[in-house]
Amino acid sequence: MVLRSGSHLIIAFTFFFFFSVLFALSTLGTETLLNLIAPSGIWVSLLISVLLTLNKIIHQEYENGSTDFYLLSDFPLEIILFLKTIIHWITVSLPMLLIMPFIMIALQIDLEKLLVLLTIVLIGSPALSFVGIMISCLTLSNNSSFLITTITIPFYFPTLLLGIYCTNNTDLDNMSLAYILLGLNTLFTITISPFISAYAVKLHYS
Amino acid sequence: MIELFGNYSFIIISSYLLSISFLLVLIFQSLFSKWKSERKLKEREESVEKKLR
Amino acid sequence: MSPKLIDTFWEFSNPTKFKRLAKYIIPMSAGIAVICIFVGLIWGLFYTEPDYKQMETVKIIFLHVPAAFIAINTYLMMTIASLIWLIRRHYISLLAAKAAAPIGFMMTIITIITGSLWGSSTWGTFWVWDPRLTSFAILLCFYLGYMVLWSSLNKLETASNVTSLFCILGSIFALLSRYIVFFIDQGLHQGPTLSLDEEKNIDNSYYFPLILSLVGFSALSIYLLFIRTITEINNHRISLTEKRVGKDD
Repeated sequence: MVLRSGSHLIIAFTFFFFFSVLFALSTLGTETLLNLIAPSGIWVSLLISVLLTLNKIIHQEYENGSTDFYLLSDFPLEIILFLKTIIHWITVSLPMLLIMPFIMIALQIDLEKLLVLLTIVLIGSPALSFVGIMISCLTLSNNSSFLITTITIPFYFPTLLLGIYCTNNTDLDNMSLAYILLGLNTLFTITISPFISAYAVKLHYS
Repeated sequence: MIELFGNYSFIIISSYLLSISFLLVLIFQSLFSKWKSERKLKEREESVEKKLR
Repeated sequence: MSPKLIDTFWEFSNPTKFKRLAKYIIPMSAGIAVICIFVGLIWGLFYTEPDYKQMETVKIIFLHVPAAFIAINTYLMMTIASLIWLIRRHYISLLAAKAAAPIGFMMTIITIITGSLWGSSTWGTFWVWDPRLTSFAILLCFYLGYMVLWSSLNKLETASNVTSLFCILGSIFALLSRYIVFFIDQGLHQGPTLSLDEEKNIDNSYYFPLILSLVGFSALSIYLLFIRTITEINNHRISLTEKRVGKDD
C-alpha cells in the first residue's frame, strides 16, 4: 500500500508546486497583491493536490474487490480506513511541509514565518485528508473524479477558511482562538471520519 | 410604466421578472413531470394487467 | 394526546394515504399560494411608499426574504427527512427529500440573484463575503451536490442511503462553516446584514405585504413539494413494475 502510493508523491508535489507558482505568476509580481493572497495560494494548492489524489485511497480497492476482504475480516473497518488516511496524509501533505521554504520564496512570504506556517499547515492538513476519505467513501460505486471533486469541495470550507485566517494573522498570540478552532476542526474531522467512512462503505454492500 | 420606479426601475423589474420566471419554470416542470409520470404509470399498469390476464 | 398525534403523522408514510392527503392539500395550498403571492407582491410593489433611505429598491424585499426563508427551511426539512429514512426506513420521506431539492435550489438562486441585484444599488457591490451571503453560497453548493449525487449513483438502495448521509453531513458542515465565517468576519467589521431590515419592518406599510408574501411562498413550496413527491412515488412504482414484469416489448 505504501509502495503503491509512490505515485501520490509525484502527483502531489508537482501539482502543489505548479499551483503555487501559478498563483504567484497570476499577480504579475505586484508585491501588494501577492502579499494579500499568498496564504490562500498555499492552502488552495494544498487542497487541490489532496483532491486529485483522493480517488486513489479507496476507489481502486473497491474496483478490485479488496474491500470485501476488509469487511469479512475481524479487523474493524474503522481502523483500516484510519490507517489508510494517515498514510495518505503522510505521503501527500508531509512532503508539502518539506518544500514549504521554496513555496514561501516563490510566493514571497517572509521566511521568518516559516515555523508558524509549518505548524499551521501541520495542524490543518490532516483534516483535508480525513474529510476527503469520508466523502470519497460516499461515492464508492461511481469512479468519476469529477463527482468526487464536486462533492468534496463544500466540505473543505471550514478547514480552508480557518487555515487561511490563521496564516493571515500569524502575529497573534500562540493560543489565540483561531488556532484553537483550527485544532478543534482537525480533531473533529479525525474523530468522525473513520466511523462515517466505515458506515458509508458498508452502505455500498447492502 | 418603465419609468414608474425612478432610477432603480431596471433593477426592480428585472429581479421580479427573473424570479417569477424561475418560479414559473419550476412549477411547470413539476407539473409536467407529474403528468408524464402519471400517464406512464397508467400505461404500465394497464399493460401489466393485460399480461397477467 | 401526543402519542396519537405522532401516530397519525407516521400513517402518511403509506403511499396511498399520502396521496389522499395530497389530494386535499394540493388545491388548498395552490389557492393560498396564488392569492397570497399575487396580493402580497402587487400590494408591495405598487401600493407602498418608497422608503427614503433606499428609495424604491427595498421592494425587492418581498421576494428576497421569503425565498431565503424557504431555502433554509427546505434544507432543514431535507435533513430531517433523510434522518427519518436512515432510522425508520419510510421511503416516502426519502422521496420527499429528493423532491424538495430542486425547490430549495431554485429558492437559493432566487435569493442570491435578488440579493445581489439589490445590493448593487444600495451597498454598491454585487457580493460581499460576509456570514449570511457566504452561508447561502455554501447552501447552494450542498444543494448542487445532493442533486448531482442522486443522478450519478445507479442502484436505488445505495443512492438513497448515500444521499441521505450527504444531506446530514452537509448540514453539519454548513452550520460549522457559517459559524466560522461569523467568527472571521465579526472580528473585522460588522458586514452589511439583513438585520437592518428588522428596524424598517416595524413600519406597517411594509410589514403586511411581507407577511403575505412569506405565507404565499410557503404555500407555494408546499404545493411544489407535494406535486414532486407524487411524481417520485409514481416513478418509483413504475420502476417496481418494470422489475416485476420486465420492460415492455
